[in-house]
Amino acid sequence: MNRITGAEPDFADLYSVAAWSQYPSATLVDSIEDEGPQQAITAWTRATRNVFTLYCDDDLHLSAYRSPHVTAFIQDTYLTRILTRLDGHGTRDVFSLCTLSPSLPNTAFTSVSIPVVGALDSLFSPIRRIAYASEAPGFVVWLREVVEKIGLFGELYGNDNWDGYGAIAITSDTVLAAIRIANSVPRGFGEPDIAPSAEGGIAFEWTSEGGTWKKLFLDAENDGTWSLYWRLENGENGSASGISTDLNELRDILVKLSSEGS
Amino acid sequence: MTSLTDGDVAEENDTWLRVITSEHYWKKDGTLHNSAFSGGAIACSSEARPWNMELSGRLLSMVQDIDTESKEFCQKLDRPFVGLMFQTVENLSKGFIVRTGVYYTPNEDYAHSDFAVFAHMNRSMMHQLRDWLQDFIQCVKPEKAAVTINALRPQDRSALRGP
Repeated sequence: MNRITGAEPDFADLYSVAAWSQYPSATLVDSIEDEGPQQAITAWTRATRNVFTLYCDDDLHLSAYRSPHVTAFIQDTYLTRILTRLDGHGTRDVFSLCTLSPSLPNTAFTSVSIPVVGALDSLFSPIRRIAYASEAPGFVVWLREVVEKIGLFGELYGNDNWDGYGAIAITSDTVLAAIRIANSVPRGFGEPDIAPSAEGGIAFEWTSEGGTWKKLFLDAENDGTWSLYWRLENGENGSASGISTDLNELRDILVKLSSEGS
Repeated sequence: MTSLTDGDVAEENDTWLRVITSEHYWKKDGTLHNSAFSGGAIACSSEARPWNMELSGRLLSMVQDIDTESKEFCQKLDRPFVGLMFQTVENLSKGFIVRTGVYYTPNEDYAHSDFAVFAHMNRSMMHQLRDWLQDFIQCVKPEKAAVTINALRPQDRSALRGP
């Protein structure tokens, strides 16, 4: 098994879970493969078609949240794609995490929390997780709520013309991309307002008073990209965009904006 | 009957409005999310129009019963009527970095009109447009929609209303 090393000295180096042996029908379907402010992966269970999102907190507890709303929008093609990617890393069926029970009640965001510390040696992944120790502890709470809401969007806005003006349906790929993007946002930004875009995307928005920036728009576009726009207090604005599977640049910009605003 | 024909610029003292069908467009602070002005809502002009981008809406001068018509619009979509966004034609026609305007573009909706942008919009400009619109387009929730919107009607509008 390969344990990924090489963390920057100021970060806690944590490891995510790709699958767990006592729940063999579960497998990782989505993850943030880059260094991120939050330990989080989304897992899909073939047997129950449930989606779990796993978070690793600063106190090294792993939490699992289950969202049936997201589940309905996971497609087999997406699963296949991710499994192929994992196969390339040689990571399937080699991990174990014992305490996630398949008997969790089928309600939105039922959660369990288990200590990771003792199991750390059992957690291996090609995905190195970085936790920014200085960020606000409330992050996990709002992230959970955001992920729940994003999951609902697939149901509420899953048909074309949902707004009566020709809006494009939100797809499962966009839902998952938005979850990835949400996971990449530095904790200090706080809970965003989230809304569907008529272009089939999912849009995050933050506003700030007294900081360097005044408005921040972040879109998970329906073409697999993200786009970011910010307006500073002095009226200047900027923008950036990239692909949703590579969130390094996005995270760098957000961290920079966050530090400038503090 | 109205004096406007398809493609005419709307009168400055008219009001452009749009039915909001997503409760998620309301932010926690009671204002509209920038996404309410986004994407396909501001679509590439699909007909032979002189503008490049458009945001569909209605002209108040053509609307007879704002409350009933808005609810009917939402009922057809099986969506909730969660509010209206609105602004005067005059204000929508000035102030952005490129030319904008409001044009009467009837379709199956006799009151249909477009907020139009006369420039090719890249993603950055689209964001700027959303930012600009968010700052000054007004909005009202259903319970106050009729009172608020009807107060914007010029007194001489009644003769212009359609069938």
